[in-house]
Amino acid sequence: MTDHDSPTGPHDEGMGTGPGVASGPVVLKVRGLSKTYTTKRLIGSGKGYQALLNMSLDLRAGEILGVVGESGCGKSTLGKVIAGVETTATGSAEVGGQPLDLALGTRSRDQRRQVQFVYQSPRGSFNPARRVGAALRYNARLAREVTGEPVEGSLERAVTSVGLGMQHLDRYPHELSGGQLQRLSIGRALITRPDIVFLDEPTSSLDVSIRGEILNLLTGLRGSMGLSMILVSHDLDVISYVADRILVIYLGQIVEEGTASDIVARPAHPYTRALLTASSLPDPAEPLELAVDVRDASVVPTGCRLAPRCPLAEGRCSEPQHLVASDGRSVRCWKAESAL
Amino acid sequence: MTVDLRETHPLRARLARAMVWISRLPRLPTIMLAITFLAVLIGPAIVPHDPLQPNPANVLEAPSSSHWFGTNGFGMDIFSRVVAAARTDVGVAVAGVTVGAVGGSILGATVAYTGGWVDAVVQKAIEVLQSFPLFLFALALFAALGDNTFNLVVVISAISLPWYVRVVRSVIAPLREAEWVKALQNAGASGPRIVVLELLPNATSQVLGLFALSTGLAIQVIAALAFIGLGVQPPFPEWGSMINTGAPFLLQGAWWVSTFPGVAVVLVVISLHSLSRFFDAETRGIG
Amino acid sequence: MGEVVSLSGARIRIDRKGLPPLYPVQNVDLSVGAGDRTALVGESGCGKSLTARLLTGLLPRNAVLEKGSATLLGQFDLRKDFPDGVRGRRVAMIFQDPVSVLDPMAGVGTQIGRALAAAGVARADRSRVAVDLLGSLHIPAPDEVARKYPHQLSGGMCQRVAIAMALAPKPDLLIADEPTTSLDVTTEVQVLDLLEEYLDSSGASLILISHDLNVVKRLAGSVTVMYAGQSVEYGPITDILSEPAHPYSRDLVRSSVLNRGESAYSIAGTLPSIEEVMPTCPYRSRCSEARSPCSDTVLGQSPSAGGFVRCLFPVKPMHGNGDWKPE
Repeated sequence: MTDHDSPTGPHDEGMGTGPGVASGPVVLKVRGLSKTYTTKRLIGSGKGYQALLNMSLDLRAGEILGVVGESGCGKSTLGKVIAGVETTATGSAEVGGQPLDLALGTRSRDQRRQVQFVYQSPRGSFNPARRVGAALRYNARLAREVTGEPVEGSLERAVTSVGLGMQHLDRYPHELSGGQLQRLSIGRALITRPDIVFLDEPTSSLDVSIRGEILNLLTGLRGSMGLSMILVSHDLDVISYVADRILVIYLGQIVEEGTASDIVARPAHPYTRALLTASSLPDPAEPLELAVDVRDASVVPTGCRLAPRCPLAEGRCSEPQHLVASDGRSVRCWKAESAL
Repeated sequence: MTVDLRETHPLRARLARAMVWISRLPRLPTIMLAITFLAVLIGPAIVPHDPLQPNPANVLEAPSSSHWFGTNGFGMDIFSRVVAAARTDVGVAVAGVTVGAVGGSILGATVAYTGGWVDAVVQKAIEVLQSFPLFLFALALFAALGDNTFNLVVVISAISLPWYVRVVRSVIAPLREAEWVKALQNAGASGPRIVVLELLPNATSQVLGLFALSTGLAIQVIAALAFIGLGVQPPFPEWGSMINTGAPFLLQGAWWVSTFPGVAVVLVVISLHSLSRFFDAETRGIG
Repeated sequence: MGEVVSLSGARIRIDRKGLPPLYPVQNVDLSVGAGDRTALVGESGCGKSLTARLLTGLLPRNAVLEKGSATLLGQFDLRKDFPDGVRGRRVAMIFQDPVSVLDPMAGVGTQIGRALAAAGVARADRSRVAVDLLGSLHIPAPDEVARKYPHQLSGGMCQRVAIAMALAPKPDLLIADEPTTSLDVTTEVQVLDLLEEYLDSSGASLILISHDLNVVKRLAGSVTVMYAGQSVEYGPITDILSEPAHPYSRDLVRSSVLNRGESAYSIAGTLPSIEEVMPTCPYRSRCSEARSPCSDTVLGQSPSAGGFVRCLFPVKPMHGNGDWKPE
């Protein structure tokens, strides 16, 4: 392990207390989450690729936590681990004080109900050969088993809360628009009255003209039902618009964390600065462009993972670096600590 | 006011689409198969003569207004026999192919969903089975099981099952990793439920195409077995055996005894074939 | 050579057996002069990619240019067969997915060498020119990269290699179809910079196809906004971003801007069907400015010198009136 963040490290103090941030109780607490993918080899064991490296985060009730990073940084893996879909990881997680199973397929019904996952592609999330209602009914039955809420009742509540009607459930996916399907996909997650909804790039496969519709829906759900969400995206524009707090991830590590307005106003980590420079948001005070990425994807630097591309890198960047926190902000960079 | 075509009357739109689809079916084969289907259902009830009634007075009579297709060596009415035989040939073929289609589709979808060594073993087994020539395989199986109509159904389902396993598996396998399948698993849908209710409907058009194709092949196999004296026995009406019993009369100039059942086989098989090609084109989005 | 590309009233029909044909491109005007950098902007289903395929002779087999005129490089009539020796030499393309463009079985240097061979570079010089080309795209250690295979490179690097191949024959016209959509944002900037550098040094023309106004803004001087197979507005990029004339352009620009604390803008309704040619404004069912005449007629007007908008009730004052079209 190249990282030494202790589970009770700097994360526990001062998080999420910035202005405009929900100060409700912590609904999700993740500590030391790691995930290594091992490539299969014909002979011998393959190299391990660390998709997640000792990640810790808190999500407060009624908060939208934005996770931003580029492809392959592990942001989707993070969601899949927390939502208990597709993969298994090490570390610990708690929902509402109760431990959450991080192994695949071992969660109780109630745990499955608590954390819901919304997949990226609205078209890909529904069986093209079945009416969309069929897909939502599975979750409605799960809800009935746990909470006793009747199937038709939970369906109606969910489709209404995403601005659609019961008649939409009788349609086939090809009879609905991308925006309507994405609404239904979010509605499907709401059926079980989840504590946390994880949204994986909810707008990136939609046209920009209907993106606002989904973003408004999400902020509306936070306001009306106090829904806690983790929203993953590569798009800092979207994240900074919708999220209360932002987590910046680079190659499986949290490199910066803070309130959305704070991160946009004064990004500390070079990677965050580069993201902001590339986005359509106003450039940071010190714009920064990263060097061309020539790394072999299977070789991960031992120290700062950004160092090979970072124009500010120097000798000590090859040593492992902690996440240093102060005043609701954390950053993992030798050079940026003073900026906090 | 926003006019959204997708918003208006999904049922009516669906019905309209179904009508368009039906109107696109190849016309002649569809009519031919509708007639055949009618013959299977009510043919024996409406034929002008009893297909099993010999009439020594009318032996080998040429086609006429009273015997449209003529009579055979026993004086039986060939038109009535050709119509009555539809129930035997098409009936046994459809019964056998249906068993094979249902079994093969479920097996194919199951192994596609399961993956791993089960998938590999089943695939290899199917390859081995399909490496035998179709007719020889049917012949050997039939000989081993014994000569009766029930076993004929068994043989037909045995030779058609591997096709369905193969086709359905290839359609379903890429869907295993689809996001909607993952979403169903997370919602707690059971494996059998996902396979039968969710995955299989995605192979509908391929299965339909294969159904038409394999029914045609099954009719050929049944007729061929009967032609060499296996399966359905004369005088019970069956196209293959009728062709066989009529063969000696060809030299005497009584061409109609073999020709009409032969034409029936050819027409039905060609119709099924072109229907399957239509489904095939449909699946690949050609046209 | 005056105009590199000239499309006027282009309509593309896609035939389907037993089904009504589709008209994904219904009425597109496009005029690109030598050295122009223009963009086609629109959302999925607007026909921008099919327009690009028309210009590169890569229309699907069941698609035809049914109406209108299309001239490439001032001399080739695209209503006839696509001319030989043009695609990949005088007109080059860059695609969205670089990995599918590259040959997984060949080294990067070899592949650029093939493109150079098509451009007529002598065999002995090819490997050196290939390395030079990679170097000119700011690839560190170009000689090492030239020896690698596509799977050993990142997506951004593959796109650079694809760009090197496209630029190898020094094309007069570069058509880039969503060149950065599959790339990370920090890489996107670099790739756009590279394209700009080539255009600056060569004076070649560019048609950039994108759904992303932020990308367009970085590279293009002028924009054609497309909606449901029609070019609805044409003008300088700055005009269209700051003061669009067509209600659709305005709504598109609005929805691409997110302001924290304010409600996000989105366009209600859905695209009209492309199963028939729409003789009037395709946007009228979703348009806030639509009035009754919109269902009868559509009018080309000029919002600025050289600009064009196909709308009866544009949302900014017009420069000139009447059924004006770019030449």
